[in-house]
Amino acid sequence: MQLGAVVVVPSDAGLTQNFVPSSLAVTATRSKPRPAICSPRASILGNDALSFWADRVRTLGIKDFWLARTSQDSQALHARFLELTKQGVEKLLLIKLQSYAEMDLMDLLRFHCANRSPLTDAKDKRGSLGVSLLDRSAVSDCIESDASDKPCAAQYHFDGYTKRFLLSQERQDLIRDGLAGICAIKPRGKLIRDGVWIADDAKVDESVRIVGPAFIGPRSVIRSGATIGPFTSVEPDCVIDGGTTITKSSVLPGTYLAPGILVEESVVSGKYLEDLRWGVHVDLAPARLARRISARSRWAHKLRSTPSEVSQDYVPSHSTSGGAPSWVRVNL
Amino acid sequence: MNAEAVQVLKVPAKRTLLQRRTLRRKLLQSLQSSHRQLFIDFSDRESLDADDLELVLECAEAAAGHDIEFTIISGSAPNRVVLEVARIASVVPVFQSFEEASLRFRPSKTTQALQAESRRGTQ
Repeated sequence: MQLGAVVVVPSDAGLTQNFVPSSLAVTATRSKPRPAICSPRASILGNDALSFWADRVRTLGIKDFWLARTSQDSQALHARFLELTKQGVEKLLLIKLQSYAEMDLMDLLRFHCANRSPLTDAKDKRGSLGVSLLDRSAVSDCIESDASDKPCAAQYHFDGYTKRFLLSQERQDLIRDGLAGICAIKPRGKLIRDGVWIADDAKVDESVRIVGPAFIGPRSVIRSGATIGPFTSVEPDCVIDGGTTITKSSVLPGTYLAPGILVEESVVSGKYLEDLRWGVHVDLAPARLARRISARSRWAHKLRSTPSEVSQDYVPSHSTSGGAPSWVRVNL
Repeated sequence: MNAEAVQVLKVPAKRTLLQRRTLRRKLLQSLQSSHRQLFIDFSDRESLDADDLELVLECAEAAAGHDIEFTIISGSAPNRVVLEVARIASVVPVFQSFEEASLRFRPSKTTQALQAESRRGTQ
């Protein structure tokens, strides 16, 4: 039996609309459209969600998978999927990069084969996890709509650990659980003392107070007098200026936080902050409290540092479109 | 507390450099006057900028030297979050609305005084 795998990364524009179940999407219920705070590829305790799923796909004996973006129109995706079936793929594992689930994909495959349904959708008690298995015959049907909407889809109920990391609150819960050792995701850094992980190439001033559990990612800079933690993650390429305090929060990659500010129970990405207590989304740029670090300065910094991001391990071996790749083959 | 003891200064939604200077002067004058309670009302401001924060900090510093209770009406949850992130909420009381503020102070009289002053501020 030839098994293929496709991981679909939601585009920023379609994040809340297409990938988060409406019952869970706090952000989707607001009248004003807002930029998504949590990107599917933003690192979680220094880990890449894609690499997490890649590790799981590897357990099925699959040598490579296809990576697609939802910015592609559905017809193009459809054509690609049909192409895969023409190449001999009999069953297709479709993973929408929206959730973290400590799922045994082999068990899902066994369930799918035993059930003889052309389509199986993995769910937890709150709905679809974005992981589906399709037979060749179901491929064309599934492209046009969400697999979980199909009445003929068999339901694989997963009751293990899951989090929808596109939702800020769940992302923060995942980070809290990762730091506390409750889930399998582990901070990618050096354990310098109980509950404190710091990446080798992070720069942390001696005067910085770190209250564990906390994580400071690669190439991040923490300036004098800052306080980090507890239950805080500063992801790669961030700059936390002097005297700033961050507790029970996540600072997503490439964020600069101004001196002396206080971030509590929030997720910050570039200039945007989502306060998890109030459920409020704020642009901090007009008040000059935060901003996105430009790609140029990050690139300059990267040249001086050793690259260590997991995503860089997955170098696309083949791209079928010009410009920004939206359909690439990834070797495992 | 009577209406004379309370003053409300409403920050306009948009303002020119001149208006900004006038507002600042007015605020600092209020802090010198006999008012016991000064409210800065950001209800019309969609988002707070660095000038707003600077103004609030200047007022807080001036109020500290006088016997004046200085309070901020953020007007919205995002404005309140900005004030919390900037740590202003830890030195100056911040309320989302006059109703919320009136619960904190002596209810009946202050509410009336605030409502009267708020109406006067908008005129």
